[in-house]
Amino acid sequence: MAIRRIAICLGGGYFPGLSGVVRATARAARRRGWEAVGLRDGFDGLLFPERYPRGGIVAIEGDGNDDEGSLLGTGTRNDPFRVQLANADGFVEEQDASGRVLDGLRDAGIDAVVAIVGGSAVTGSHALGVMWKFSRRGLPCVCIPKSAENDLAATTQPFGYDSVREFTAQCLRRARIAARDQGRVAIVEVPGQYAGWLALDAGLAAGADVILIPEQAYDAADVARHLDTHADSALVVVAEGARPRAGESPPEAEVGLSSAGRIARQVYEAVQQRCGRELFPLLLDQWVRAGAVTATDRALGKAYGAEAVRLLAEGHAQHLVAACAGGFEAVSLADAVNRIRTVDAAAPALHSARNLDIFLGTAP
Amino acid sequence: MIHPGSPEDISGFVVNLQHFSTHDGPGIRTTVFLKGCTLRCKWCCNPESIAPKPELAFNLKNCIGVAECGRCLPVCPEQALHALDSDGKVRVNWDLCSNCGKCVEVCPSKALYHYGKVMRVSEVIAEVEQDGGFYTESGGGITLSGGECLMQPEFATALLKEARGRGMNTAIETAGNVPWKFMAQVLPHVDTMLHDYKLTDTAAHRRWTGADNARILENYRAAYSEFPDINFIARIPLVPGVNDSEEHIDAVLDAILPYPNVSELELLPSHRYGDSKYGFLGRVYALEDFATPTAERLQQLRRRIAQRFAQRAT
Repeated sequence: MAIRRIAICLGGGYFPGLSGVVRATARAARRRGWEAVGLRDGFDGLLFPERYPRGGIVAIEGDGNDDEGSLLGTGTRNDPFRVQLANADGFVEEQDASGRVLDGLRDAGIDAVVAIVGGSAVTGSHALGVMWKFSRRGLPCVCIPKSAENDLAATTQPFGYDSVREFTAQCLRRARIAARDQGRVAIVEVPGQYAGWLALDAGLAAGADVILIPEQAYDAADVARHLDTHADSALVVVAEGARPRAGESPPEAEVGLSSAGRIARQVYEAVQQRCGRELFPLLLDQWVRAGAVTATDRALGKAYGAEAVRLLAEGHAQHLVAACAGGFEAVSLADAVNRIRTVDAAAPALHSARNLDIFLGTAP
Repeated sequence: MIHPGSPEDISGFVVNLQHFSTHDGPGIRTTVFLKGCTLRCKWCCNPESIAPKPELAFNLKNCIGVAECGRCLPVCPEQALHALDSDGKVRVNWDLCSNCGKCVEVCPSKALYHYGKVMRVSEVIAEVEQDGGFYTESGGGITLSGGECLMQPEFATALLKEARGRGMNTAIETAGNVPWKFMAQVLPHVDTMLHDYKLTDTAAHRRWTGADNARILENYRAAYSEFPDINFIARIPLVPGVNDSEEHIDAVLDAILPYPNVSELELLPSHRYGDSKYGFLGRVYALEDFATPTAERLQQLRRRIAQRFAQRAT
């Protein structure tokens, strides 16, 4: 299939530096003689063009390094396959409007889509799932991974993780200093519903004393004992999906509701009852995305844009570009969707934590 | 009397039956929750009643894991189920699920299950009649709720007709967002109609429920006028910051007080009992942070309502 025009779209979830990925993708496309345009707010630009005074499809202008925002918007939670609309009887219902998206792309002369997608702590791999469904409808597309929790199995280096990790570590470091000054124990919850990578990596970087991750159930009594005997002040980093050992009730909802803050509160309550130190809980939640984009992510994002275009040019649509040790590889969307990478027992970061006497939730 | 299996014994989609209800009409009642709703209120505490047909739910606590079971994974045609390495239990990718129900059929621990089922009129009535003694003593009966019970007008009509034929008091709970012909079809078989005034401002109604309210208000006016023998009880599901203003209460009172067959305006304080159901359905609770109204605020507003009703009586 000869490509003349591609569209770039973003899944929900803000990251610093996304505009750099969008511009790089457009630049790589133009180099091949293609035109590149952007879709506003995921596919909302095609579903609801009347909401956008400048149109739902916008030109991507300039090659600058302007990293403010994403150019296209990342606020959407609309799945084009289940859009809430009123039917002929005036009943509000979820309708499959994917045909409108495909028609809109065809009418705009768009031959393929590059989607920058990630997972969602709330609903699973939302945007990636949407692209997988579109790919099964025959839409030529290539996905670029972005993730704050680094839990996509397809790659260990999604766009955005380095910036999130950097800023999270900075925040944790400040919490550590505050805790030391006050002689207290800071319990800081960070994103990580299924995988504890962010808690582990940023916790290591910030000098955490205790790290609790979903992959290893913690024992509140053990944590309390450790805090009582090892330090006057401490930093405890808790991943959102951390869970207590059997017998202690975990936070109720795992999906559906945002569970932000629940586990920090639970750890605080359970440990404080047993611990002589004074604890205070903190929640970082979406603030982890509030830092500046790192040089690593700037370079990675540009490379991702270039690779996505290369895959399309070489006829490898329906794939996700995945950064790997030797460069980039193409992972089929069928293999990428639903695959979550958790912290396994052999993870080097876990070994480092143990070798540094960082307490991981249970006494050996 | 309907004969089980006869052509009149039609079927509909039911979420569940709740026995010994005391807040859904006069006396002790059995409330039948019909499936399907025509609004999408952001504070909804019955998310399992929204979709018109049975839908998948998943309770992680009941999953026994892929090491021992894993029967659901290969039967899913949409690739919507996957196992998590860290705990070996199944997860649902709700974006991919098509609600085909194949996983429900093979799940031995009922971790995967359906909210809602198909029931015939005779089946519903047989279950409702189990509490027959309480109805006669308390003046109670059957209440159709939802979801929006008027979304299934034929089924609702058949249920109410049959219940009334057996001497039960009949009531419905509706939010009114249906074509008038649906409401007009059902109301001849209704003794009490409990109906919601969620928001009187049109733009706010659209924002919080997904639909305009013009048809709802018109339906209510027509119902009050054309069915003078029905006892109408107006209700406001009170959500702080959304519809707990004096202006809204006054607008509702202005709409109902001219009609003598509207006997009450009830305030239903919003609650969070539906939280876990959002989790089981993999849905996002759009209004997860709303509070319940304070006792003082409820008292203030109820006093205001009582005063206006007292003025009407004089």
